[in-house]
Amino acid sequence: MSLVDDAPIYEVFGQRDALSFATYVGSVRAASLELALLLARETYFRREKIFDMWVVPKESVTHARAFDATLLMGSMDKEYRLPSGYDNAPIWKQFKAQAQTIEEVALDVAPPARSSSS
Amino acid sequence: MILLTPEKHSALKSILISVADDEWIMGHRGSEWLAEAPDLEDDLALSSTSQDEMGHARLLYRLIEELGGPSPDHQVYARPVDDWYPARLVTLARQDWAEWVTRRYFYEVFDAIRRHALISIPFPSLAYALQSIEREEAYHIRYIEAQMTNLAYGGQVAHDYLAHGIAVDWAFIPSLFSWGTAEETWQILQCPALDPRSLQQAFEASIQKQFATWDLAWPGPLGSIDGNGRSAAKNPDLAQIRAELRAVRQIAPDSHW
Amino acid sequence: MDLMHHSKEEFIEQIAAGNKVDTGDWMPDDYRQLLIKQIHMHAISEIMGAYPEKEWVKYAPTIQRKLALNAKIQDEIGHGHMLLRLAEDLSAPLGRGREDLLHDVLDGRVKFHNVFHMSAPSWADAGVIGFLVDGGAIITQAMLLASSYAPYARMLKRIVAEESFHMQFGESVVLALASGTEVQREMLQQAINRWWPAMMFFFGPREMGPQSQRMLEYRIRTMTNEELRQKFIARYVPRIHALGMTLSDHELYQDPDPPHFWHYTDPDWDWFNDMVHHNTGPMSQARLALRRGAQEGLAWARHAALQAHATIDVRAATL
Repeated sequence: MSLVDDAPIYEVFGQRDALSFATYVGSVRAASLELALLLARETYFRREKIFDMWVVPKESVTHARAFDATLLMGSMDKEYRLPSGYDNAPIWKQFKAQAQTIEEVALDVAPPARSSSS
Repeated sequence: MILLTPEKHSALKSILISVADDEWIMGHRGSEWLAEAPDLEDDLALSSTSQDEMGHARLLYRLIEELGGPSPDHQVYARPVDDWYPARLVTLARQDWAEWVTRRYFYEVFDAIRRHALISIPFPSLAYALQSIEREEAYHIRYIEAQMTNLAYGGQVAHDYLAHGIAVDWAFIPSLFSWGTAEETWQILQCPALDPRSLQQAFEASIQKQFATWDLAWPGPLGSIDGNGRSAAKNPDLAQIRAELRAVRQIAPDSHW
Repeated sequence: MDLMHHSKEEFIEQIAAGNKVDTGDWMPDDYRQLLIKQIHMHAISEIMGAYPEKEWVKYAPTIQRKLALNAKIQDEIGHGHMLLRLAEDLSAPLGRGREDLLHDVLDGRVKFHNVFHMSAPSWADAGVIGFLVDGGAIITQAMLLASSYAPYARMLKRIVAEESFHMQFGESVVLALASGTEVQREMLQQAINRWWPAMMFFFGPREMGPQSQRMLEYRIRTMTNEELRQKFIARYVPRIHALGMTLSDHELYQDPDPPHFWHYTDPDWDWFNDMVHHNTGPMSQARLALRRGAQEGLAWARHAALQAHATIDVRAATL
């Protein structure tokens, strides 16, 4: 028989830099949201610089695996919606033109290199 | 591979063509709602459903090809209209949103029953195909039941739309149960679950149970199984669909597109 | 960004240094307004962009094309959705949400790209939209990856990755037509003729207005209209010519001397401007009617979903 109730659980997410998405890293027990944030930093991010942290009360998270596992079943092959489902390069070559990729377009319009933003 | 007798071979092809045609046309009709669903999230789910159905049709047309039939593209773009066997219900020209919800609901329930019946046919490629189809269909049924729940409990306006959708579809539901070609195909395949009467009974039982949980009034007995339910000659919408499908392709039928 | 710096000058300095602004950060009012205007219009354009392509789904000439076109339109709606979520978050302090932002296009309170007001009368148009319109949009969106508003830049990373399939799809359709029969090649040529002037307008006027200038200062965007248009022309003219297709612009040529500027005939600025501002394009009203059908015609279904869940919760509570 315990003397004190367990503190509530908060799920912790970390965002590495301004341009990345927050990723789940683990959870903490804490008495309040504020404490959850304070504790999460030292629990999960004490070695690294982090751009932002999120804490979410565990009961606010609905897991598909528990709610309805059929949601996690993969769909059938839909190669037509992947760039790799297309092989245009040889045809461009027949027309004596170069195939282009989206990465190349992105480089073409990227601002001149400077120290990466933080 | 288990060898089928020539008779079973041809019975299987004729059953698969009805299933594939239903799936193809559900996808075709579903695409008509692209960018027209009530909200953006619904639109994304709806489009995946249509893509899934057409993907299933392609898979089944491939099976038919394996059994000596023409290519999937030939089935869709070159097959004479009299050789199509979709149920009248799935071909119905677009009505309103609620009717599209009810049509999908009735179709998905029926399709699940039919798939479970098809599993007993001893043809490994079919069993394998059904397995991968099932993975996607689990989502379809879950999603469409959630939509039906929304309409059933969504207030008077939604309830009226829902009742109207059900009423429109009800008369056409018996078209689902027939097999289009020779009605005895299920006997040749020795698969009693594919008997139109069995399909109808299983369907009615399933729907009745759901209607009760949604507090929906039972619309009365279903009509008797419609032997012409998959007949192209009795289906004015089918010719229209086929003309749409072929409109571009026929400009240069044998070229790359 | 440091929440303590509440002066506009410091804000601009921070941005110039390459810092990013995030949801919930302090931002000058005009920065917020410009972001809303840009992202709202971007979102609505993605959604309206579904309609011209949708016209060809039922006629798509192979199973593969029909599936791919379906998936591409789904992505456009998906992009519209992700962008609208950002615009909703930015508009929340102003008391406006999803319903308002989607309704705005019906009242002409938000514009959408000129290209989506145009008609697409052949299958080749569906391909050329993927080839040229998506090609142009990719250039613009890739530029926006450097945007100072981090949620926009983040989302665009995802969007641009998905556009990669759109680009391959469009090119694949165009390449098939170019390799096809005379009739198919002619169909392609006609579509290119139709879309080229609209693409010249797509990037906006040669001289940008004060609002666009302000977006540059705030680094919401990082290139001028003309810089983007030049990138587009340089990329697509050689490819169109390689396909054996022609462009009917007789003023189209590239300076042999650096910076190798491409000259081009001005599109009919007044005609396109009018269509964008007053929805007077060949297909503006027809496509808005479809959007209205979903937004107003099916409002009852959105309402029903909310009401159903309230009803079910009440029932569950009383059991």
